[in-house]
Amino acid sequence: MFLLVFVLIGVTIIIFFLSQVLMDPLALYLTDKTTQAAIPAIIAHYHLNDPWPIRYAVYLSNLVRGDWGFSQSESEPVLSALSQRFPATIELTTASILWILVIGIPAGIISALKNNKAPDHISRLVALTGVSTPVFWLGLILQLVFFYYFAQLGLPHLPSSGIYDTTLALEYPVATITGLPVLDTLITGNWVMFEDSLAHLVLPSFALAFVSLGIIMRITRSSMLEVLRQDYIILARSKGLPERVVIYRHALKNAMIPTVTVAGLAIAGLLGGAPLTETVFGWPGMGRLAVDAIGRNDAPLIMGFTLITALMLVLANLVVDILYGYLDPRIKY
Amino acid sequence: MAEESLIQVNHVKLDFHTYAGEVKALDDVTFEVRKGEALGLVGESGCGKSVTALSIDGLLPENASVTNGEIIFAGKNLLTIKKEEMRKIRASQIAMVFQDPTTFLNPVLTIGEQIEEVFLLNPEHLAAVASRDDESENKTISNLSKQQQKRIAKRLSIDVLKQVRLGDQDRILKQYPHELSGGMRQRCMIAMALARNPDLLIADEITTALDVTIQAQILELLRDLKRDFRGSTLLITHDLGIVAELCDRVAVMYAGNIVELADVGDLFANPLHPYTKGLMKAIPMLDRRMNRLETIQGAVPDLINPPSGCRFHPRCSFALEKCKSVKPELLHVSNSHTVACHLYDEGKP
Amino acid sequence: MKRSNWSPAISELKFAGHLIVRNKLVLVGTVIAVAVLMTATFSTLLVSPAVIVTIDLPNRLQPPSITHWLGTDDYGRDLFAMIILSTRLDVIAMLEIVGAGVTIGVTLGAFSGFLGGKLDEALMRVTDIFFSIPGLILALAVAAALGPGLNNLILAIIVVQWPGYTRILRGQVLAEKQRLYVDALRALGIGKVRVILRHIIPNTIYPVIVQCTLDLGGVILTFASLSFLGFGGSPLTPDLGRLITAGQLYIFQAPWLTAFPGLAILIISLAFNLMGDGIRDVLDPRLRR
Repeated sequence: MFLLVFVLIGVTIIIFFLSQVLMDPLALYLTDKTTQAAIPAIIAHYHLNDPWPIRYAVYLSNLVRGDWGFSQSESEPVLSALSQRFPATIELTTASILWILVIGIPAGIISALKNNKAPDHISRLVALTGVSTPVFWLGLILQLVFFYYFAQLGLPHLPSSGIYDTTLALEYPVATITGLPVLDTLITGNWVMFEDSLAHLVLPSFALAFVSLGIIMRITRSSMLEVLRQDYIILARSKGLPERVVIYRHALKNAMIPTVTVAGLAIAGLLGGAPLTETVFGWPGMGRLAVDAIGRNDAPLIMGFTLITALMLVLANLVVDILYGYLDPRIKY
Repeated sequence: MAEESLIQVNHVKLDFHTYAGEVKALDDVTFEVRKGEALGLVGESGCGKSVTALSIDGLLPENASVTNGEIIFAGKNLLTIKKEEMRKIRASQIAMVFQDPTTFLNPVLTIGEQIEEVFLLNPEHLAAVASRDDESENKTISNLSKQQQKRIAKRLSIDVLKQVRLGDQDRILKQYPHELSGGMRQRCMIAMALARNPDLLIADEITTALDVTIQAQILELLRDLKRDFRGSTLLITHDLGIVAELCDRVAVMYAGNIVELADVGDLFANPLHPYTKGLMKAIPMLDRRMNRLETIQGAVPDLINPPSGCRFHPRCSFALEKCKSVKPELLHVSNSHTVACHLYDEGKP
Repeated sequence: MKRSNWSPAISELKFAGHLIVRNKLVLVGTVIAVAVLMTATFSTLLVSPAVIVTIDLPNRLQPPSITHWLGTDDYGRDLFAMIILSTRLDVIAMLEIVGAGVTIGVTLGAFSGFLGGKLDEALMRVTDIFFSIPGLILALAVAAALGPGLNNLILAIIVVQWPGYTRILRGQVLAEKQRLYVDALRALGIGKVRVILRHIIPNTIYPVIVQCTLDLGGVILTFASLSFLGFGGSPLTPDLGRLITAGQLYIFQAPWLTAFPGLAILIISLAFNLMGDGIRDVLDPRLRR
C-alpha cells in the first residue's frame, strides 16, 4: 500500500519535471481569459518563482485538490476535460479486456493441449503477429476491410468511426448514466442505439486488444505446458480423475498464475495503445484528446493524460496483485 | 496351496525416446503380485522400479513405448486397454502413492479438496454410505444432491485422515499443502490412496524424500495399516530395511530386469544373485562386526548402450564367459525362489 | 583438443541443430532481419535518395504496377523506393534506442545489483515508478516536453527502455554475485569496479541479449507509432510511421499507401521477434526440455 503511494508520488515528480522544469511552468496555469496583468498573481499563487522543492509541494497539493492546470485548446480545466472523455476510454479498454479473456486465454489453453499440432501452430503464429503489428496500422486496415470493402461488396459492414451514430441518436437519444453508451443504452432499453454502439465498439476494441491478445495467448500456453509437466498432475491422473477435471481443476488455476502476473503488462499495453486506436477510429476518449493536444501544443493536457493513465495502471496492478493472491495461497499479504 | 494372483507383469520391455538416444529402461520385467500380499521391489536408482510402477498405472510419459509384454489385471491387459477403462481402474482398483509429497500435491487446492474429489468420483459409493446411515428409512438412496455428496465425502475424508493417524482433521482439510509438514503431507497422499480402497496399492519410494525421523513414523504407519489393509501392496524402495519389515516377498531389480524373486526370509537368508549378495553385504549389520562396508564395483550401466547378455556382467565377480552374450532367464531354484543368473542354470555348462 | 569422449559435445550440437531446424520460422526470421539490416545500410545504393524530393504529379496515386511495384503516393513518388529509404531511418532509430537503453540499463543494473545497499533500493523504486506509466504514453509525454525533432523522439523512447534492462541485469547480477569466484576475485584484491566490468557483466549478459533482440521488434513499433502521431522527423527524412500518416489521408482511394508501409513495419518487427525467440531457445536449451 505504501509502495503504491510512493510510486504515484514518483510519477508526479516525473511529470512535474517534464512540465515544469523542461517546459514553461506558466503554461500550465494560463487560461484563455488570463490577462497580462493577472500573470504576476498567478506566479505568486503557484509559487512559480520559488525554489523547486516548494514549487513541487505546491504543484502536488494542487493536483490533489483537483487543479491540474488549464487546457488552452479545450478552453477548460484539464481535469474536467479528461473526466468527460474518461468513460469512452473505459468502454474501449474494458471491451478490449473482454476480447483478451474470451479469445486469448482459451486459445492459449487449446494451444497447450494440442501442443505442436495445427491449432498450436496457428495460434502461435497469430500471437507472434500480434506483438509485431502496429496498432494504428491494424486499425486502419480493419476500417479498410470491414467498413469500406464490405460496403463496396454490399455486405453488412461495421462503422468506421465514432462511438455511436450521432444522427441516429437524435431520434433515439442516449441517456447519460454511466457515460458508457453500451451500458447506458442497455440499461434504458434503447435497443437501436445499443446495437449501434456495440457495432461501433467492435473494430476499435479488437484492434486495441490484438497486440495484448498475442502476449496473453503465449503466456497461457507456456504456463499451461509447464503446469501439465508437474508432478501433481501425475497424482491427479493417478486418482482416476477424468482428464477434463485434471485440466480445469488442477492445471488451470496453477497456469493462470503466471498469466495474471503478465496481465499488468498487458493492461499497460492497452492503455498505451488507446491514444492510437482512439485517433484512428475517431473515438471520443482521453487518448484522442491527448493526441489532438500534441498538434495544438497543449502540454497541460498531455501531462494530465499521462498522470491519469499512470493512476489507472497503478490501480490495475493493484487489482492484479489481489487476484494473484487469491489464486496462489502461498502468497500472504 | 497356490495363492491367487492379482496382477501379472509378463516380459515387459520399454524404451524411452530421448534426444540422446533410445533409453532401454525395461528389458524383461516379469513378476506377479498375489492377493493380499506385500511385494517389495528393490533396486538402485535408475534401475526401472518407478517406470515399472508407472507402466502398471498407465501413467507413462509420451516418449515411452512398450515394445513387448503384457500386464494382466482383472482379466485385462493394462497395456492395451482403452484410456477410459484404465481411468476407472485407477479410480477404484489401483492406487499409487508417490515419492515427494511436496511436488505431488497441488499447491492451490486444499487438502480437503484433494481428498474429497477422490470420494466424489464414486457417487454410488456415497449413496451406499448414506443408505447405511439412514437406518430408520431402510431404503437405498440412489440419488444424492451435490450438497449431500459433499457432506458425505467430507465425513469420509475425516475418517481416512484418522486412518493415517492425523489428528485435528477438520483443520487439515481446510489447509493447503504448503502449510503442512513433509510427514503430514505424505500421510495425506497415503490417505488419498486408501480412500479408493484399492485392490492394489503401489507405494513408490514413499519415504525416500523424507528425513529419517519422519521416515520412521511413516514406516510405523505402514506397519499399522498392513494389519487392516485387505488389498495387495507393491512396495518400491531401495531400502532393504523397509523390505525386511513390511514385505512378504521381494523382487530384486537391476538395469531393467528382475534378477531375483523370493520370500523375504529366503532372500535375506540365502541371496543367490551376485547383485543381491552385493546389496546384502553393503548393509551395515548391528549384530556383526564389520571393518568395511563392501561396495559393488563399477557403476550403473548406461541404458542407451546397455551391456550385452546379462546386464550385470561387467560388475560381477562371478561372471562366466556365457554371461557376456546370453541373457539369463528367471528360473526356479525352489518353489518360491527364482533367479536370473547363469550360475544357477541347473546342469547347463 | 584431445577428447576422450566426443559424444556429449556431439549430442549438444545435435540438440541445438534440432532446435534450429525444428523452428524454421526462426531461421526465416533471422534471415529477414539480416536482410532488413542490409537494406537499411545500403538503402541509398539501392534507391536514389533524390526520390524524396522528386515530384511527379501526373503519376500520383497510382496503384501497384510493373513500373511502380507498390504504387505511387500523392506526390507521384514510387512507394517502394520511399519504403526502402524510410527503413533506414527506422532501423537507425531502433539500434540507437536499444543500444543506448542497454548501455545505460546494464551499467546501472550491474553496479546497483553488485554494490547493493540504499542506492540499489532507491534505483529499484525509481524503476518501479517508470513501470507505472504505460510505455507509449511516457514516451509521448517526454517527447512533448522535449520538443519536436527526431533526436528528441529517440531520447524519449530511450527514457522508456532503460528501466527494463536495469531490472533484468540487476536480477542476474544478484544471483551471480553469490558465486564463489566473485569472492575469490575480491580476496585477490581486485577492485569492485573491475570485477563488475570484466567478470560480472560478461557472465550475466545473456538474458539481456535475448531481450534486446526482442526489443528491437518492439521499439520499432513505438517509434513508428509516435512518428505516426507527428513526433520525430520531417518530410525530408521520411520514416515508415510518417508514410502512414500521409497515406491515411487517401486510405480509401489509395489503400496501398497505408497498407505497404505498415506491412513493412510488421515484417521488420516480426523478423526481430522471431530472431529473438530463436536466440532465447538456443541460449537456454536446458530449460526447454
